[in-house]
Amino acid sequence: MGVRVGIPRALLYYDYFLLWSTFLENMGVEVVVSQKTNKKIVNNGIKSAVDDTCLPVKVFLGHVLDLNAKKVDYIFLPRYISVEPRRFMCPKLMGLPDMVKQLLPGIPPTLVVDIDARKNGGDLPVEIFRLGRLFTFNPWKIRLAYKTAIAKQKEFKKRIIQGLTPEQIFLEKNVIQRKNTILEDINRPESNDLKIGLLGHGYNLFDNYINMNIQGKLKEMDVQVLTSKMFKEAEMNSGLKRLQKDIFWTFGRETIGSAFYLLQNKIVHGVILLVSFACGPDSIIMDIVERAYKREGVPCLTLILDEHSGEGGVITRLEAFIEMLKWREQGDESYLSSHGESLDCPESPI
Amino acid sequence: MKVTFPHMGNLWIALKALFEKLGHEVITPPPITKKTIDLGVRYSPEFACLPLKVNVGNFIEGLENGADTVIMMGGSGPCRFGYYGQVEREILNDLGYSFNIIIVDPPEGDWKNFLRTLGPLGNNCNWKEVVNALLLAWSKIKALDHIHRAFLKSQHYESSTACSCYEDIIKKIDIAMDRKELRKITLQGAGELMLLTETEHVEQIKIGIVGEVFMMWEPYVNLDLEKTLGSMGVEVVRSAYISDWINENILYNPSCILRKMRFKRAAKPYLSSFVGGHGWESVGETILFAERKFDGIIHVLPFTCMPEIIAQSILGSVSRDYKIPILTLSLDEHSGQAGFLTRVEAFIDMVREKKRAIV
Ligand code: SF4
Ligand code: SF4
Repeated sequence: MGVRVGIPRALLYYDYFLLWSTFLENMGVEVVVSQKTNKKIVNNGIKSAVDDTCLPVKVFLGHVLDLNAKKVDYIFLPRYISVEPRRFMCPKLMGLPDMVKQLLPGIPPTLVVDIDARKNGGDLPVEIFRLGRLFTFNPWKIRLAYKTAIAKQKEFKKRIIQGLTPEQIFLEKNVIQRKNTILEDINRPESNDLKIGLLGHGYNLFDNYINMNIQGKLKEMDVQVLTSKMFKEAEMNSGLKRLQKDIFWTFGRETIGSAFYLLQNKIVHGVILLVSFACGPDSIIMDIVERAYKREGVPCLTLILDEHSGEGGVITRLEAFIEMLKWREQGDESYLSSHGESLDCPESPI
Repeated sequence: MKVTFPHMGNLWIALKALFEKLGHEVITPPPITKKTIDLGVRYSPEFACLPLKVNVGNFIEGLENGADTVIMMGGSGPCRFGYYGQVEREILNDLGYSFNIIIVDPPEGDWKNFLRTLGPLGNNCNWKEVVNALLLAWSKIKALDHIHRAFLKSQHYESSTACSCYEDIIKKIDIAMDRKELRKITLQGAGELMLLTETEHVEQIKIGIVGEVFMMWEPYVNLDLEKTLGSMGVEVVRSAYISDWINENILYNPSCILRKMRFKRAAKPYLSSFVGGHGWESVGETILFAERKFDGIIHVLPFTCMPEIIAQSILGSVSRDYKIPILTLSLDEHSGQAGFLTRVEAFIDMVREKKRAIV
């Protein structure tokens, strides 16, 4: 049997899994993914981490332990420093591989690749070759695997914008080919549902254990949801124009870009920010978004996720927020006249 | 212009000298008190790290005292500090102050923009005046750091005398108007402090302080950690000074670059990458302290500080491998004196016990 490489189902799994699994599989490696987040994983993570760490990193540690139990040969642990010029990931992700190794001394050897795109284009190809060399001496094979992986990743981005969840795409389940992006669909004049933006990092948006299945709950309430992963570059850039200084975090750019785009074009009735407790970047991002929404009088709810937040409390807040939005939409004429026109406007500004 | 700026330890002395030399009226914010923190906490994002909240408190107090221009450092990531100024501006705007804010972001190649931002600060001074102002401020920073080092070397012998002597010298540095005078004050001051070190002292223990720089440099927020330790008869060494930072990042002083290489090499087996802020330094400097046979390390950080949480996660292994006790103090606006003292005292007792057991 070939080499078994474990990929934790946490953090940037929701953004880059397809890239790495495609590459590794083309190298002849068997890719093993940890279980879906569950209570045991979370508790193991909490036990291993330093108290003040954010929940997603704790959960990540739990997933690494799960892979350890699955007896993989290696654990794949990229160091995401930066994935685009002039922007960073979170400092914690920059130190994650070292942190994991020190906190979990007994785990299988780790495969660390440094992803740093700050230097024009970055040395991704160099790092990829370094990784590939572990499995094959054939540079052509590595090159081909890399190209396939990049192509898959591009495809992934396209489908995420169309409104599929990462796991649907990874598992090739329910993959309906849509013609329009979800934003275009939602903007059709005939749709009368309540529309909200759900903004946050991939692991908060799509890990249903961490977010207490918020997307499912909103669906049950007949709310149309736009996540911050569903916007095109140009749309985000137009939202970002409001900032006086470029935001230097990739996630932050997504959240702020989509929040401001929605605000400018009056696409949704309100937004929900999904934020992890003790998340550094989001403590800043949250303030910028909340302030802008408050100034313009558009509702914005921040849900803080941590290991102690009970599901009951979250549902209550969520329901109250949705009720409030519905009430506003039906009752408040001024809201309709000032916000309604572009909602119903067929030539929406996209 | 009536300028104000945030507090961080004694940095205000240098900033005041700089802006006064450039012909501005300087409104130094009142020293940080509980009121400052309360103001900052009330108006800042709840989950922001403590330095931001303290900055906001300083700015409000400065503006209330009549300042019309706020000066703040910027940055280009990856940590929150680089965006502090932007958030602080919006907070003060929403509070209804009318003011200018000058956020000094690193130029990153765009010198034109950099100079345009700094333009108003120049106040039509010619180059020579600007250079002189900068040199004076730089000398003050160096003098302050030098005196602080001397103070730390002496305070554990005779804590109260050393403190009052230190305060006197700081006042003199603040008043000094030229570099020659500064040099005299520094030499004399350091000499006075050194005189205190001659008393006999038994069983000395040495503690190194590492961590996030604001928490390390601002005594109000670290609950006067250094003096507390001094009064327990513990010798304290601070791992970094403002002058080191300037030497390293602005002046590219070779000796500091070498130092940087040393701590990086030390940290390498544990942490091999920059993680924003001072996280890498915290790990590297802890190891260097351990190699110099220090008896213990105190690691200070503001609650939720990202780089230092990475450091903290790693310092556990360092402590095991190098057999050096480490106390982590994660502090925020709620940290009370009582709990803090108990923890520090217990740690020092433990370190003393350990030392006795070895001897
Ligand atoms: S971005 Fe926030 S939640 Fe994600 S790792 Fe960093 S601090 Fe944690
Ligand atoms: S280093 Fe720590 S205190 Fe400084 S900005 Fe970053 S998180 Fe905040």
